[in-house]
Amino acid sequence: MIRRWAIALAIVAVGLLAAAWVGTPRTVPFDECSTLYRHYYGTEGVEVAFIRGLPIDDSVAVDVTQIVATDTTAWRRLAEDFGMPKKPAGVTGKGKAVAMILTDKEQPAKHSGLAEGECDLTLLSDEMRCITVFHINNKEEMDHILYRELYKMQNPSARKPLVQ
Amino acid sequence: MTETEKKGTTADLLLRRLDTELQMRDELRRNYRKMSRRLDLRVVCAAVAVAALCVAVALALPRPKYTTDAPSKGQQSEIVSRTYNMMEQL
Repeated sequence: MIRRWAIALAIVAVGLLAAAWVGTPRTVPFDECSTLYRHYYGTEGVEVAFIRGLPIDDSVAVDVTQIVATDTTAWRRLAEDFGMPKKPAGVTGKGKAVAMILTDKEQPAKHSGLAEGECDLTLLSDEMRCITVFHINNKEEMDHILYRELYKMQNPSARKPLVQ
Repeated sequence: MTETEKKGTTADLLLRRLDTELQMRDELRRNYRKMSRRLDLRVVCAAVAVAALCVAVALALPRPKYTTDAPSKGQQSEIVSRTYNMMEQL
């Protein structure tokens, strides 16, 4: 009799804990978000998001700030802020390519002369009007982002979708 | 020894044996209860251990945290898929 009650209680406890875990919003306090996130937070025409610990593959996870412009004016302003490389003359259309630059952690417009661990990896997509900044801490993290597809080929088990 | 005395002795013996049997039965019942309680305790401990393990595994799973805005699950997956999409286009 006692055993039945104990098992029932244990199952209920597990259920409650699981529900609490799933239901608890995992949010990063504003103060702990990236400088970029705090800078662009509340800016008109810009949607900004910060993700802490986005899994790149099985072994590496990095913090990411994503800035999306909702209109052309905001996108132009953003591109200027980040010093987005201009399209070569004669190239028309939006194109699907994603530009990659290494940016200073504090001043995104500053690109060159950056040492390892002092820069972020920034991807810019004209088509998506989106800037994704990977807050890099070491060379290994950068390699995993740059050669993600290669790592996946080397390790077929990593091909499973990372999006939960 | 008369017939009555003989019967009395047999009855006495039988009673003593019955008493012993009853004592043994009580002892067995006590032992059974004790073992049953121990088993209950073990089951509770095992259930608690399993629950703790489940929680530990759940907490250990990599799960990204999002901004103070706490966007909805749909928005979260949109942000994440956009990020992976850009990485694939590199």
